[in-house]
Amino acid sequence: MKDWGKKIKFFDGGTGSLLFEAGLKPGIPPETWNIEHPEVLCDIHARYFNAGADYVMANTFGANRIKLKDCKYSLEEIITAAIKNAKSAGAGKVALDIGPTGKLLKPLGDLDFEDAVSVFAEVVEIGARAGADVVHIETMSDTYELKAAVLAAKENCDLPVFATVVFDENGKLLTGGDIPTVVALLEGLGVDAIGMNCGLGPIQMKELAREMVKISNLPVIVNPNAGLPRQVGDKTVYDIDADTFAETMAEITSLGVWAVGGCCGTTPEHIEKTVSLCRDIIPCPIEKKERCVVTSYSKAVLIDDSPVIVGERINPTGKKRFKEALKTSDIDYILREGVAQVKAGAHILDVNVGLPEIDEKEMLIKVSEGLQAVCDLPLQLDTSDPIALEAALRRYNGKALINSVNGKEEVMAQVFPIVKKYGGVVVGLTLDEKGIPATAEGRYEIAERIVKCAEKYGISKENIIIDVLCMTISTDACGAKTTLRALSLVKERLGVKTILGVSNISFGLPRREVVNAGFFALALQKGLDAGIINPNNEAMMNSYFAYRALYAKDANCADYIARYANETEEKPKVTGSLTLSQAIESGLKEDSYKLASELLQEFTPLEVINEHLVPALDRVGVGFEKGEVFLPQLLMSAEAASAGFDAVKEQILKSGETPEIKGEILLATVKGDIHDIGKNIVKVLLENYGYRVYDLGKDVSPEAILQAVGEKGITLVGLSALMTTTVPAMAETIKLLREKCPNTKIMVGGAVLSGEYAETIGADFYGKDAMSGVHAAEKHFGK
Amino acid sequence: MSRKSEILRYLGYKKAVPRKDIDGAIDRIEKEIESVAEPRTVKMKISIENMPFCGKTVEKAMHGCKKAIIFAATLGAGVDRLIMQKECSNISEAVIAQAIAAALIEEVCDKLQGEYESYPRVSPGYGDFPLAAQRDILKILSADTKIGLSTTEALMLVPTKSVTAIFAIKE
Repeated sequence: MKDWGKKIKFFDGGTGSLLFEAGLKPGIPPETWNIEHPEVLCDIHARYFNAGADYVMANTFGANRIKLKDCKYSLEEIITAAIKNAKSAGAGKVALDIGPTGKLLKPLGDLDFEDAVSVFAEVVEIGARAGADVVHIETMSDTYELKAAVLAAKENCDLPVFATVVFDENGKLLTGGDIPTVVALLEGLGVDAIGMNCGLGPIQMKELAREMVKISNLPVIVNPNAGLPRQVGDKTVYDIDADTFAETMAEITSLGVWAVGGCCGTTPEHIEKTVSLCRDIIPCPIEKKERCVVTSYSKAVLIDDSPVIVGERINPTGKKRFKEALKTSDIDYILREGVAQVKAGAHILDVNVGLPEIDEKEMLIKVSEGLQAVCDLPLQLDTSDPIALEAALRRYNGKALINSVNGKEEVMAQVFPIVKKYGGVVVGLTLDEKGIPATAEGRYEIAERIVKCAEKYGISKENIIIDVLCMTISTDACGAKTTLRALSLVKERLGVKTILGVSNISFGLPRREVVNAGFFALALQKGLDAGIINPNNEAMMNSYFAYRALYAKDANCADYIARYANETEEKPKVTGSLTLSQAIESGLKEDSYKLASELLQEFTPLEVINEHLVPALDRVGVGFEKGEVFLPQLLMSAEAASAGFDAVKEQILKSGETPEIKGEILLATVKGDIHDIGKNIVKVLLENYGYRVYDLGKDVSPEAILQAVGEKGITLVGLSALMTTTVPAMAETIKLLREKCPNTKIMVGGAVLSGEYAETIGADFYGKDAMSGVHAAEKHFGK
Repeated sequence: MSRKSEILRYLGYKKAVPRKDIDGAIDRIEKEIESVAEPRTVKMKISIENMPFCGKTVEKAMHGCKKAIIFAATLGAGVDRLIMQKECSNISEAVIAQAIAAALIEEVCDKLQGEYESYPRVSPGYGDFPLAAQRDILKILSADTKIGLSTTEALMLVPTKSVTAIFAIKE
């Protein structure tokens, strides 16, 4: 790649349409022609080299074990032949071309991330061995699959890695990612050049290319289609000709793009004309951009002029209910904390699931993946365990915020290589082997050391964000002053971004939010870039919105006005004469919580459950079974009852006891099936009736179900399947459980099942609707 | 039929009138779904002699026409994500969202089909039209790269709010 940036580099154009012209029939994998018609491929490659291409793509776009599952040739044969054909066609460089697998990754589809990595790894190994000069990953429309392909390339060869994606006209990937997200992800993973291909013609790509060049520190590649396609008769024609294509490519090159070529519909003519117009353009040098960016799969958060809020609620410290959720693997409870913070206005979510009695690595992966399925904010992976960190960061879809590294040599040596490999912005805590320095200067020195050490690992300072830590003012009178001074020093002298867990400042004091909100405002005024706070806390958010309005970081006070203008002075609705039963029957969550809390002043938790909550639920359940109450109503009542149960549970946990449970039930959607709304409905209702539900989620193998049944000593299992194609997996699971755990009863449900069918596959109970899971449980455990 | 009555039908209401708060929730969630839905379709016109599928269901659906349309449609990944979010945080809304999305994808198909004078569409899984044809339709249309639609091993379409189908046209 040494002459990149000195001269414009050229890629080849389309191959598919030329193969069809040469007689390839639809439905036949084009890759088979590498072996059956090598002369055709050699000819196509040679024409591109002659047209002036520096790189041609070997005919390996769909060469992976998923797409070529039923092919008569091995992957090894196909890829080796492809590289050989391209190499024999000219003296230029040959790219191992890697396209998508055609499958959607979890949680949307059923392909596991590591399986995707291994699919690509196989291709890279063979391609590198066969003599490819570079790896070119292209036509990716999902950031997660893109990450899998890049990791596979980086881990299995030393060749340069290029990666290009497909944007629509709005600059979005099919799975939602935008240009800043893709750039941050690929820069973090350390590819050599990035860009876009397919989907659009050069005219539509021009603005997208401009945006990418503006924020990228890497060379940009643009390989558009021949134009926008149109069907005329049986032929596809494009809206522009090769001359217009070439002229537009020259304009794109002038924007600072370093390499151009073509995709669908482009021919050697397109490339030849492009080369002749672009050859003498001097590539614009790439300016260094210092952007501190973290992303999810679709959203990039730029930490810059306006401070951001990192939601702190996913953390067990001091939270009994949260610890309980971690111990019982109640992931949904944790995800709800996440969703609530999104709604409250957080920009990033902190994820800390460290608890001595749980496997932190497994839990951090589960929770961060769960959060990425249900919300689109970037996450801050918060752990002191480097093994858990690496495992979660590897599977993270995007460029994460990492919490944390500190001034200890050992910790830096553990964490920085992980950050370098996977990308990320890392929080540096100003403490070291000697603890937290008492002075601002001491903390500044550690910050400086962290930044310097990171640089040695190849991590530039825009990817470091310093936490100067705060000590409670209840024990150190100058705690706040020291922190604020250290913050200023770090900002001014080091020029790096800063972050702070704000609420420590008030530890040991009453009405902590008064001090927290005041301190938060002060820290923001000193230039704090990210506050780790509770976004549900009104006082903290007030400080935040007021600061942004006061410091001209909220144009026209728009955000401030949007948040506060329509706020009425009205007090929250008074519950009045409503009873708990009525609140449940009407599906009123807040009222149910409040009324249950009130009843708990007078009655025992058990009385509240047995005399108020359960009878109300029963009434709604009976109405549902009679066809008088409909599913949405039933579920709203169930949710209202849940809120009531939450009040009860809190009361019990407060008194140091553990809530009584009627029985433990394991639920899972069977292997291959990824619809689990039915199972989730059953779960909500079972929990309402006092059962503890272990939810293994969807697409769960018979073995995993067996293992969980064994470990937890489960006597009632609920299985769900929605498709005829997944009922066999249900039957298989039942057979395995029968064999190994003959005393465990099994209930089944799902759209394709019937009572008779359920009996045929050997189930004990058939759940025809939402309530029948509860009846089966009552029958099993006794009412 | 109006979209609202379709949604209520999916929710099991038959002829019953929904409670006022639920009616309001449907309207609110409908807006949420619309804001994340990115309907995309891909289609191909074929001559009957090139029809890759056979069997009674397909044959009957062709009504002796000479041409047919093979198509795939999806609401995109955003709808699945929104439903997943509601499944963990608000199951009643998830059920409503599910019904709205089901009504919406049918509308997308109706609109595509409305461009032609056509006979009713059939999808893999109906009659003797095998579910496995789902995968063939996606392949023929390159639906994975064009509209981001694929299937799981168990032949479920993902994103889940999607349809593949064929219909005969009178031309």
